[in-house]
Amino acid sequence: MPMKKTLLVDLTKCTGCEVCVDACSGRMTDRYSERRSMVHLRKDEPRTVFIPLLCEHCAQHPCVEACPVEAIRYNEGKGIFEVIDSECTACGACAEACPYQGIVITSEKALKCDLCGGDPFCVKFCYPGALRWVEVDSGTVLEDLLSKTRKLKELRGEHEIWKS
Amino acid sequence: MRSGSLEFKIAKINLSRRSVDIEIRPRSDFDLYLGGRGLNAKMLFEGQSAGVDPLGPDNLLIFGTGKLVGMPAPTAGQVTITAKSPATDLYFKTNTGGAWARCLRRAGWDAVVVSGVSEAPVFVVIDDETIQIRDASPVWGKTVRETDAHIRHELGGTGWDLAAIGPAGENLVRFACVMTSLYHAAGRGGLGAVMGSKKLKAIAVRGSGETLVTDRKSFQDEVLAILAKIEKSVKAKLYVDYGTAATIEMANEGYSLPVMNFRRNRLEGGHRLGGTYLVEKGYMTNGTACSSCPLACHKFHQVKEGPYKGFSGGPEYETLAALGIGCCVTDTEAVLKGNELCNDLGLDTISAGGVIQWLLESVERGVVPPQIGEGLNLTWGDGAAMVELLKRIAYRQGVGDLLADGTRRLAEKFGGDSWKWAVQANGLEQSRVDTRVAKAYALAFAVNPRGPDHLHAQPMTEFARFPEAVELFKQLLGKEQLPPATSTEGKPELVRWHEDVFAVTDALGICSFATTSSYIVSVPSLCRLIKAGLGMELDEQQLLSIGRRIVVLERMFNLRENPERMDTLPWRLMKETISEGPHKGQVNSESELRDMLQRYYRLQGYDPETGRPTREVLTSLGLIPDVKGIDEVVAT
Repeated sequence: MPMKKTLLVDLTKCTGCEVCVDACSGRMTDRYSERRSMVHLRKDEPRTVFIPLLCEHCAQHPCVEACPVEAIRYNEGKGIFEVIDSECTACGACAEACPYQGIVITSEKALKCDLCGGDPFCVKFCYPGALRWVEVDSGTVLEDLLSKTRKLKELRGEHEIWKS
Repeated sequence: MRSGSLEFKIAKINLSRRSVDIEIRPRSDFDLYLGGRGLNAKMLFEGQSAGVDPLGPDNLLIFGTGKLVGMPAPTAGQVTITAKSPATDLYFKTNTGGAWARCLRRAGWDAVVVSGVSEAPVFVVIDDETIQIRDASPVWGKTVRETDAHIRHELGGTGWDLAAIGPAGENLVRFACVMTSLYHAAGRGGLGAVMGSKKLKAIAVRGSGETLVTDRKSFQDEVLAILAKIEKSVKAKLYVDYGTAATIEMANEGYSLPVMNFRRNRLEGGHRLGGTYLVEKGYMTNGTACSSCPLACHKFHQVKEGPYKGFSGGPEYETLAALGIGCCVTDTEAVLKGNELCNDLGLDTISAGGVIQWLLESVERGVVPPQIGEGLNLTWGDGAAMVELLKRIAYRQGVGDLLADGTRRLAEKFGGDSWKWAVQANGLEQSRVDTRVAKAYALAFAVNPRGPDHLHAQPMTEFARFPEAVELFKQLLGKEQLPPATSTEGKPELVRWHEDVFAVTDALGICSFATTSSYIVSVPSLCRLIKAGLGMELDEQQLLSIGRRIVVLERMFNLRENPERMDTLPWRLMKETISEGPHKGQVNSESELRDMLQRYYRLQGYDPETGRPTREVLTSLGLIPDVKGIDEVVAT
């Protein structure tokens, strides 16, 4: 059985280049655009803090709870929640509910990260290695990332961006 | 018009009339100049006549991005700013990164042309299609960081980026710069003073549009291939790990750093300004990238406590060498503070270091009285004096008011022999490269329309320090045995290639570190990016000839401006030999330079004696008949 993998963000490595944003919007369309990307970059330029925001495929999944037509459903095969396009009304409730700004609403439907079917495009283009596609049970990876994030917080001090 | 078109959408802002017009320029401008630096050069040539006052209403200030900006092409995040320079009274282009260029392209614009002079301080807001001219009196006098915070707050929302000037630009310091994304400098030539003369404090921009790509699969494959090359590049690793500061130690130990106003070549304790020291001592905090750049060479440094407590972007190699090594200041924290001040006040660090070194030498030689420092210790190695002088320059206080006009004007004012140690040519202070140890650099600096510095052609190959450089050197020279950096053999050929590639790089909106300094993005690779990204098929020769067209056009601007202008280097480098180390005795002698220039002129098809481009060359490049008025500048 294949190892379960997950997409991790290492804030200490993000340089703010925004290639992940372009990579995401350019995977399925011929246009690079913040509006069509499921990755967003939050910037605090004076302090040079950059935070890529994307669907965390989180355990609580508030998007699922928020959907009035139950169009976000678990896909056993993929192991993630996904938007059923034919049922989505593009009402925007899921996007509103997501704390990571991980869902984008176009005129027809909600766009939610599907991990590119198991080979995330954004990761391939992230040269600094801030976005990583790693095996879930490697606890050391998680611990490593957490300690770096704590260090970053300590380094840059308390700032609005951490509170919002 | 969505970006993706090969026409150009230009915002023409006249601050005297407070008007905004839209100009659509034809596809033929792309075919001939690509955009960015190339189109800027054409618009500047056609848009003003000879002899305009650089600080008057008729000087145009042009911000032009490239067509690859807005796509994930590696390092495609640059804007070229072009105007007539108040330092040199000649053509000037300067380039910067950050996120400003990407925002402008996403807003649907390729370039912004500012003319006229506003009566009261203003800033311009570009929010997609909408352009407003707003009152900047609350931020007039403020530093770059204060201005950025104030304007972002006033505008609200997210996604803004600013090109702004600090007090130095407002006070018309002739080497004031324009800062983008707070910490990225369009440094040289005093274009910040041009902006200040127009009473334009900032241009804030954001865009919600999209950038079209012609063949996304091939484009993305090419991007991934470039990323794989970066992975293997030694030079790229230095940029990634240390930024440009990496070079300081190597150059210092090799006796090739200009120390003490180009009189010595190695500084004891100079390692305290090097990349590894800055990292090991915990000064470096992180690296940030300009839009779409994998290298993230822009390192940030912090001083946690003490009189120099602070945080800022950089310093780059040039800054460490100008404010530190050149002034013999080895106090790391003083140099970091000097860098922070230059960013905040909007000063070019290279010329700032140049005028300070001129002052120190003039005091040492008794041409300038030491009392001029009003309490400052004007001797080599005093970090506190260096830091204080930067403030006085930006606010034009005391001696700072004189220094703010640059070394050429200083020497004219103080007289004596002081022109000999004004290390400038054509009004620009030489950047921190000792061209006496690198002869391709010497030639490149001499023919540079800006003056003697490294951002017209960077012939890094001549040092043959890493595999990509060696390979290119062999290819350009057509042989296996490589001459040393101190030889003139093959150097005109090297310079010519680097000029063409650099021009194309700037015109596309990508960074010269990718194409000429590290040689990661090759010319064939550029052709593939242009084809897949923009749908335009060009072979290598066609692309290089666009670069040459730009280089020749820039030269024609200077010929029109001042036919007496010479391709030359600072007096000291041509007359005084290197005094220590393995390169002792080296010099950029007049005969050596003349020999290289003549060979270079022949390659370019210029008149071998005068260096003027001939009618045949201008016609074969299509500049005649494309550029209005160029015909009248050609010698008959």
